Amino acid sequence: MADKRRQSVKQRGSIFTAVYEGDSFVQHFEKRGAREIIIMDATGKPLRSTVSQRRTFVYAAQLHPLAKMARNVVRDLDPANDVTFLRIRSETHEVHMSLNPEFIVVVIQKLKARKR
Amino acid sequence: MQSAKAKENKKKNRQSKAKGEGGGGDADDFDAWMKSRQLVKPDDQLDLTDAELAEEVTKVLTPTNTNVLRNLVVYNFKLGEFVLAPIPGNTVTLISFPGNSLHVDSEEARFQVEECEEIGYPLPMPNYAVVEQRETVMEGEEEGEGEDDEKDDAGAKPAADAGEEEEAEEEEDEEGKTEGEQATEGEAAGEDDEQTGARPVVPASGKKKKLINQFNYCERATLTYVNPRRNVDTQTIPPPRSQFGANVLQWTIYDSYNEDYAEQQKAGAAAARRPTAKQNFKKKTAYAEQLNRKYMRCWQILERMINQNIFDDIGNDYRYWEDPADEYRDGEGNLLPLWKFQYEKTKKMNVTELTFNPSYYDLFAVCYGSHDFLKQHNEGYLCLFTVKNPAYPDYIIQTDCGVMCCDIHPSYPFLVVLGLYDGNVCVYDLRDGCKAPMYVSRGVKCKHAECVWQIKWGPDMADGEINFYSVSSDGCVFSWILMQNKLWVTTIITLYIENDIADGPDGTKVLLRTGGSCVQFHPTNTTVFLVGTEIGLIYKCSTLFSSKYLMTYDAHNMSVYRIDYNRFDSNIFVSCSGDWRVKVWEDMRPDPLFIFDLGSAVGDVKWAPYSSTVFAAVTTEGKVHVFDLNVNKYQPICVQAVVPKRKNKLTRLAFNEKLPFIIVGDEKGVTTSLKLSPNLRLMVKPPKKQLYLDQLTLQNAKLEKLLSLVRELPEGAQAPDAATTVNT
Repeated sequence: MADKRRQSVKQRGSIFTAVYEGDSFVQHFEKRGAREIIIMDATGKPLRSTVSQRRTFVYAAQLHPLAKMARNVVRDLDPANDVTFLRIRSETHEVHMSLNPEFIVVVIQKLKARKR
Repeated sequence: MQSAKAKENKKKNRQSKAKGEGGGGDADDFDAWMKSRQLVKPDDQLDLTDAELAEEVTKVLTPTNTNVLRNLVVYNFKLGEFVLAPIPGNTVTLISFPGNSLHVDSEEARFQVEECEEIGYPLPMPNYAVVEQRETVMEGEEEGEGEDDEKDDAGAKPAADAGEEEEAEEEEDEEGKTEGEQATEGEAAGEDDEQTGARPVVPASGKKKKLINQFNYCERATLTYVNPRRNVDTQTIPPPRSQFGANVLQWTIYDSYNEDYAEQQKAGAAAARRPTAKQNFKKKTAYAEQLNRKYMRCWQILERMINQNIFDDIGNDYRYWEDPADEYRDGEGNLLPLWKFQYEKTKKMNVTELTFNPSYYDLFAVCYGSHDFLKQHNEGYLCLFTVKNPAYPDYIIQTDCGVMCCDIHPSYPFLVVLGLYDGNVCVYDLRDGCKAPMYVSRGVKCKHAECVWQIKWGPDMADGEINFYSVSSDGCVFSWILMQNKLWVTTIITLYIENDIADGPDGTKVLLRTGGSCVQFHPTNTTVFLVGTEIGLIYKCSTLFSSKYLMTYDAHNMSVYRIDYNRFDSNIFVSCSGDWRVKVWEDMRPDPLFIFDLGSAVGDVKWAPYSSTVFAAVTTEGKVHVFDLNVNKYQPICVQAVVPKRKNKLTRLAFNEKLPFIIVGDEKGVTTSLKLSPNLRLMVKPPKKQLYLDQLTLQNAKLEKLLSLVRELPEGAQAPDAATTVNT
C-alpha cells in the first residue's frame, strides 16, 4: 500500500500537497460518497489530498486546531489516554478524522439526504 | 528701750495717751482726742507707791510652750518605778511633706553627682567645686565646654582672680562662641600664670563631663567641599530575544517524563553500540513498516465509520427492528433483508459454505467454489466478512481450487481449515495475513481422492495436538493431526455399504463404497458422529472402531446435504437432502419423527440456537423456510423468497449465535443477511410457579412435550405426565 502511495504522487505545480489518487481506498470510497480525503502530518501540514489546494488548506487550518484541542481534553484528564477518532456531523456531510501520533487522516463524506 | 516700753505699756493700761506720745508731732488730732479723756482708775487696782511704780520689771519672751505637760511619768520596767518621761520638744509639726529634692551639699547629692557623670543639666556647684572646675579647665581638659561654667564662674568667683579680664570676657562670652573660645584660651593662658600662685586642693572627683542641652551646648560643624557628580552611561548591544509561547498541560509533562524514562532505559540497556548504516536502514524500514500498519488500521476503521453512515438505516434495523405486524399474524413470521455481502472477484462463484466464527459473533466465513462438476474455476476463495463492514471482506484467502467447505476452530479463532474441490485440505492462520497456508496436504496418499464435502475441527488430542476430520465423496472419513510441519492423516472409516456386495471384475466380491456428503459430530460425545452419504443413508459411527456402524438410518433417496444436531437435545437431529425432504430424527429410532416436503432440493438445514423447535432450510427455488414445531407441526411458519426464482439458487444457510439473523448464500456469490421477525423466535415463558427456570430447561421441556405427542411409544410404556405447561 505504501508503495502504491509513493508511486502515484503527481505534483500539480504546487509546493505542498500532492494529488492523491494512489491508494485503492480512494476509488473505493468514492463510490460510497466519501470523495474528499486529506492526509496531514502531526503538525497539521497537509501531505496528500484529493481536493483542491485552497480547500485543503481551509480544511487543514480549521481541523488541526480542533484535533489539538480534543487531544488536550482527553490527555489532560488522563495523560496515558489519547484521542483516536473525531467525527463531526453536519446536515449534509460528515467529517471523519483518524488521529494518530504520526499523521491525521481526514475523510469527508456526503450523507444521504434524509427525509424528516 | 525696754523699760521705756514697759512704762508705756503700763501707762497704756491706765492712760490711753501713750500712743499719742509715742507718735510724735504728727498725731496732734490724736493727742487732742486722747487728752479729752480723763484718767479712769478702776476701783480694785493696786495702790502702789511711786517707788514701786518706778521699779523695772523685766519681761521676757520665751519660746517655752506653757501648755506642755512637764510631769508625764512612765513606768520604767528596769528600775521598777515610775520615772519622768522626757519632755516633748517645743516644735509642733504643722505640715509634713516628703519631697524629692536634695540639698546640693548633702551626702546623697554628692554621691549622685559622682555617680552619674552624664547629668544633662548643670548643677549649681558649691563654691569649692567652682574653684575646682576652674582648676581643671586650667589644666586643659576641656576647651569649649567649660566655657559656660566659666561664665558662671566668672560671675561667682571672688574678685581676687584676674578681675577685669574676666568681666570683659563675660561680656564677650555672652556675645559669641568663637570669641569666647579665644577668650577662654586667653583666660586659660592668663590663669596658667596664676596657677602657681593660687592652687586650692582639688578633690578627687573624677572627670566631670559637660552635658549638652540647648542652654549650654554649642555645635560646630564644617562642610567639606563636595565633589560634583557626573553620570556616565554605556549600553551594550542587547542579547537577541525571541518570543516563546507554549501550552503546558498535564500530558506534556507526562510525555516528557516518558521520554526521559525511555532515554534512561536505552542508556542503561544499550552499552556502546554504534549503529551501522545497515542497522539504520533496518530501523528505518521497520519504522516504515510500523507506520504502514498503523495507516492500514486507521483506514480500516475509517472505512467502517463511512460504511456505518452509508448503511445507517440498515444498521439500525439489524439491531432494533421488530416487525410490529407480527402481533397480528399469529403463527407466521417474516424475514427482513438486511445487507448483501459480496466480493467482486467471486461474482460468478457459488457460495459453498457459511460458517460463523465461534468467538466473534459478527465475523462469518463464506466459501466460494463451484458445485458444478463441469464448470470448475481455477480459483477458490474464502472470505471472512464482518457485519461491521458490509462493503468488503475483512480477510480474503485465495486458493487455486474451489473451496468446498471450511471450519473455524472454536478455541483458536484464527485457525481456519479449508477443504478443496480437488481433495486437498489446507490450514490458514488469519493473523499472519492470508497469503500462504500454514499446512497443506500434499502427495497422493495425503489427500482425498474426491472433493472434500465437509470438514470439522475435532477436540484437541490428549497431547494437545489440534486435529480435524474431513469427509469426501471417495467414501473416506479422514482424521488429520497438525504435526510440526505436516499433516498426519489417518482414515477413521471407510463408508462401505453394508450388505451390498457387488461382483468385481475378476470374480471377487467388492464392497461398494459410497461417498460421504456431510458429517456431524455429536455435541457431547465426541467419539460419535453421523455421516450422510450420497445414496441417502445416514450412518452413525464411532471414531473408535472403523468397521461397524452404530446405526444406519435409511434417510433419503438422494445425497444427504446436511445433518444438524438439536442444540438442546442431542438425541434429535435433522437432515436434508436433494430429494426435497427435510426429516427430523431421534437417535436410535429408525423412523423419522417429522418429515417435511419443501418443493425443491433442500440445500441446507440448521437448528436455531435459541429455540429447541425452530429450524430453517433453504431450497434451490430461492426460498427460505422456517419451521417452528411447537407452533405448527406440519407447515412452515415462514416461507420467503430471497432471490429471484429462476436466476438464482440458495445454497447455504447459517444462524447467528447471538443475534436473531441468518445469512443465506446463493449461486451468484452473494450472501444475504435476513433478520428474523419476532414470531420466528418465540421464547418460552416460565410458568408462574417456577420463574427461576432458564431457557435451556424450558426449551427441553417444550421439546419433550412435543415429542411425546409424536413418538410412538414402545409397547407397554405409558406417556409420562409433563409437569410444565408450555406457552406459545
